[in-house]
Amino acid sequence: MECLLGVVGKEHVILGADRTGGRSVLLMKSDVEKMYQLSPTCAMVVAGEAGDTTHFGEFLKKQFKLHSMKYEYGLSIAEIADYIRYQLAKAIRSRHPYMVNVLVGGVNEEGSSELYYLDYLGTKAKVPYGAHGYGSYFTLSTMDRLHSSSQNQDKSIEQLHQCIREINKRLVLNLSSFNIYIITKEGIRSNVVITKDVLLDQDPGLPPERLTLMEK
Amino acid sequence: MARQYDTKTTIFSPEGRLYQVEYAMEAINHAGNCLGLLASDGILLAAEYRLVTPLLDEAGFSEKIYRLDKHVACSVAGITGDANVLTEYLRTTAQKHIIKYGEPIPVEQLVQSLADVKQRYTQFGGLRPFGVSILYMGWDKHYKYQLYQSDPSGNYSGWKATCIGKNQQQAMSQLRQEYKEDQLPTLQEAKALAIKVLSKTIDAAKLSVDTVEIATLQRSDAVGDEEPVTKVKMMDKEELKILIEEHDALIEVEKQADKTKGLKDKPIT
Repeated sequence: MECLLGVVGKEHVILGADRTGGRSVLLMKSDVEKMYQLSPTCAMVVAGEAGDTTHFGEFLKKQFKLHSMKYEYGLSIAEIADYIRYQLAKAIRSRHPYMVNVLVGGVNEEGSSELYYLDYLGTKAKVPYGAHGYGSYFTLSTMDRLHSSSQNQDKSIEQLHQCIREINKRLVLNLSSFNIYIITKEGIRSNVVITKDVLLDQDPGLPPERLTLMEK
Repeated sequence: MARQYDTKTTIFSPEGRLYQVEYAMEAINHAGNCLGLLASDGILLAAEYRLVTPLLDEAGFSEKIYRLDKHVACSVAGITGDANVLTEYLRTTAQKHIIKYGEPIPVEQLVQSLADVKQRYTQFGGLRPFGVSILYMGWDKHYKYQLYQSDPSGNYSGWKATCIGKNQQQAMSQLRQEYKEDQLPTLQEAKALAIKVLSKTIDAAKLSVDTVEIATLQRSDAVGDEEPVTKVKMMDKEELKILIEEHDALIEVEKQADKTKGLKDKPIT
């Protein structure tokens, strides 16, 4: 029921994750953080089985933190994605698989931006744009139409907004609130996108500058 | 005195020494020489081995130089049996890294992983340390050409030029004189230097193609669309022969020069 989005642009990657948290047909939270920062310029968004996502995210976060303290050189985005795939592939063949789907995005030291699509089976694909969940049925075609790898940040953000609009228009599910993460060489910025103002009440304490209210 | 403390690896002597570890280092000081030289356009390892008898069949790639991965090779000094176990470990570690990260292992990380193993064998009881020192040469994207050495105690260090084995000290002092660290030699110059140093420190009276082997590691330049690759190459016997002959000729010239100089310096009576 969750949705993850990702787009690669010129020297940046934008990741998006809905903020719902629930079980079965019940929605229990609408301010869930699904992003895990893996390095200063790399992050992943995780969706799937509730406990697994947090455990997997925290586990990898600490693994990469440990790596950065052990060795003076950092990992490239490709290496990070490969390592995550390795962990997923190892888990699926064990008695305790992680039921998680992931998008990993980041910017390398020399400025190249990369996005990887991974699922719980251990699939890994380098993609220019990607999505997980029911939302992907509507948004992949949207991104296919609009995307170009050399697009600037504003265009990428607008593209993600368009995807969220599409989800809200066509999908039965209530995915009206998204976090989006802008990853550049400088680091990671986040922003909240909300399509229905009724939900504003359910997000107490959000600083107004982090809110982008989209036209209906 | 030492007898009390040298039967187990885990025990310090009252002077704070670990005899078993020191003995392991001693084992290396009886082994054939290994030499490593960093050059501006590559890196080389040279190793001396003692031909026991001509009846002995030749090994595959080489006797004392092992390829660990596409971008790393090492040469060993010490107990060959131990060395085989360690090179096996190094090769496995390198491949495991590729499985995990999809990239070749950084050279220092590989060296460190083996140093950890060696250290463990100096601390946990019932085992003896590995009687092996290793020289590693490699290329990675972080530090380019690299030369490392590791010893039985678990220490490792990076070098521009170094030597392990029987006549280690003599070779090192010669390297200190002849290796100009501010101006790295080219690989061709390094080859000549390796022959020069080995010929002075070798057991046999004269260096021959049957007692020395040299391996070089070079990173090729990118040609067109092709990715640059790292190549480890064993020097073939013809090239080695030419190098040794050139060296011999040079020595001969020096000898002649000394002679004529000697004549001139003699006072005329």
